[in-house]
Amino acid sequence: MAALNETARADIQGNILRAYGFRYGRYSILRIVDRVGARRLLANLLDQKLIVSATTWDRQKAAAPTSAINVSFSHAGLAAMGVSRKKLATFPEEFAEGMAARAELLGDRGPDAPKNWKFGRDPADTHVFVTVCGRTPEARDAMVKQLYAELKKVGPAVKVTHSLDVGALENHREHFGYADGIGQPTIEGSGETEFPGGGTPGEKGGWAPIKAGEFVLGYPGEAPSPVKVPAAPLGRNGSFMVYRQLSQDVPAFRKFLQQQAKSTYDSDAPENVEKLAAKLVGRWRSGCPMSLSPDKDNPQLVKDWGQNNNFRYAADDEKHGKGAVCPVGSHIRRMNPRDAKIDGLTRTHRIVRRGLTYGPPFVEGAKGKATDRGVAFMAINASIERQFEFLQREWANNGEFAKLDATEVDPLCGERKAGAQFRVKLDDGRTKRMDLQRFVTLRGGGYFFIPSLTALKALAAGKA
Amino acid sequence: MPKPRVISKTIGQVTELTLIAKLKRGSAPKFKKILAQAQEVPNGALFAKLPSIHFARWVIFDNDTRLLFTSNFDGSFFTYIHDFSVEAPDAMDRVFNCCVGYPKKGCRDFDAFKRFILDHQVPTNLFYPAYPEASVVAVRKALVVKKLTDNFVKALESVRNASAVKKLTDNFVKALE
Repeated sequence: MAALNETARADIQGNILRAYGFRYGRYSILRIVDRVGARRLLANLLDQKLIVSATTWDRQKAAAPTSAINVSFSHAGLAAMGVSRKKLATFPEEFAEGMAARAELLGDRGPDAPKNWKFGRDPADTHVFVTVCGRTPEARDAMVKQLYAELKKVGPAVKVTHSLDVGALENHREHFGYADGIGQPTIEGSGETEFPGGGTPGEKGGWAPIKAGEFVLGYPGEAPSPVKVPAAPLGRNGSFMVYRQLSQDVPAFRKFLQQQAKSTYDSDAPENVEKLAAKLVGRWRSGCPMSLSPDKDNPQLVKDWGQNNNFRYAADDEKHGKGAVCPVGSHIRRMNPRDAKIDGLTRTHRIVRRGLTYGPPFVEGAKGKATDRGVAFMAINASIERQFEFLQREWANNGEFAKLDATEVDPLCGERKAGAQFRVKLDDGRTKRMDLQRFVTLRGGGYFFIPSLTALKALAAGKA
Repeated sequence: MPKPRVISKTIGQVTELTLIAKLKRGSAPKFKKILAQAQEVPNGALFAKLPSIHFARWVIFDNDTRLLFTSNFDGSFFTYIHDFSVEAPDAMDRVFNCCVGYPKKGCRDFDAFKRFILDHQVPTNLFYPAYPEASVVAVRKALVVKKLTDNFVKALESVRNASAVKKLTDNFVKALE
């Protein structure tokens, strides 16, 4: 098993190893009615080189693409493309079952349950996931137009069953007002610049990049035995993507912060609200980590990529008490515990996060129909079970991995089970306990396989 | 045809696993020694890194030819065993590699290890957990709280003035956190 190099990167689809940084997109889900037409569609997209690989390109250069298409398939989608049963059986169980079937295990119950989803529940409607991304709305729209022209050419063979326009808000904030996308794993051989804080903290300082096999199939990973690669030519240089459309209730979140600020500090003055907002996430809304600036926000620090992710937890826990600087239950600490003392390892449970926000920003007092807004979340990993599902089950929906109570869940994406709570140490030594309400609801999604370009060509030729 | 997979019994959040495997011929004396050594380590250090295991037991039986392994744990057996196999693969291999069918590369080949466990699993006919809703973490925490509470109550008995009571109470609440 060789390391990742430029040849491999030219075969791996784009947006896995490094983000495009494109701010506008449209995500569509397709149903394959007729595989001959679907293969032709794929062949046409490939022939025109519209599906972009992870080839290293300089974002500043004129030759850099300004838009891109990427394609992934559900297990049912691969079957619809004509992949044999024998080969389908070489894919992991959780991928074959799909996200809807894994709902109980993921804590997707009540309002999050598949029966309430707007899409993704029926495997027969959820075959292909297509992303169109563009640097500008115009670039995105032009590429969408091209995609639809190609869809039209194959007529009723392929149907669009769901689509969503996505676009980054101002300053890369998400709807709750937090800067998003700062903490990503540094991947060995990705060709991307290494910034401190992305990898695994070394015992004597420094950071080791995460092995490529955690995100791309066919390479050594963090565990001694690499993730099993599905049958050739499909598996190698492929990856898995988890898609979740997470609707965000901005008024509920704001109200929660104000109420909690009042009951914690006797006042919902902005500085109190911001302090609590930071404690929930572990970063100030600017993106500045609490671990580097616990008492007040420092937006200047966020611009410095040598700094904004360069922090650890263990020494602060030792010196100031566990979670006194960055709360143990805060979102970023749960999703990447770094060197904090936890049950099990961190480096075998990392994910690449992609995706963008959708819906217009919330405006206080605006009249009219309630608008859906949120984040179109993507997690990219080599093993959905060991990475995304583990994060959701063990770290988001339960606090025991970090010796918190089982009911202490991730304040943003943790399951709202009975007694769901967030506990935080205040600066004066008190502990504040908050009942967590629902701010985020799952609208739909699925598990998809992102084939390499080689595999896409084989799929298009009916030889996969 | 692969044989149908044995499904563990789960009550509340506690799950059981029972497996029976043949021992490699003549390996029993050495294996017994390994297990006896493991028993000597205080608090079963082997599994101290596995937060989800309530109980685990190794029994060599049938005239030194077979191993019975039973365990009760929170959630899925493999969730934390995976990380354990990355951190301490030799420790895991030591207590299983006398079994026929144990993977050559041991638990480093985790897919093969998983298959070994599942292939040797036998159905449990009756499973009784006394506290099916309490995880190992919750039980350990509760024991700490009980001890702190006992000490607090005992200390309260010997104080008379209000400020001393307040100080004790504050310290108690702090210790609980």
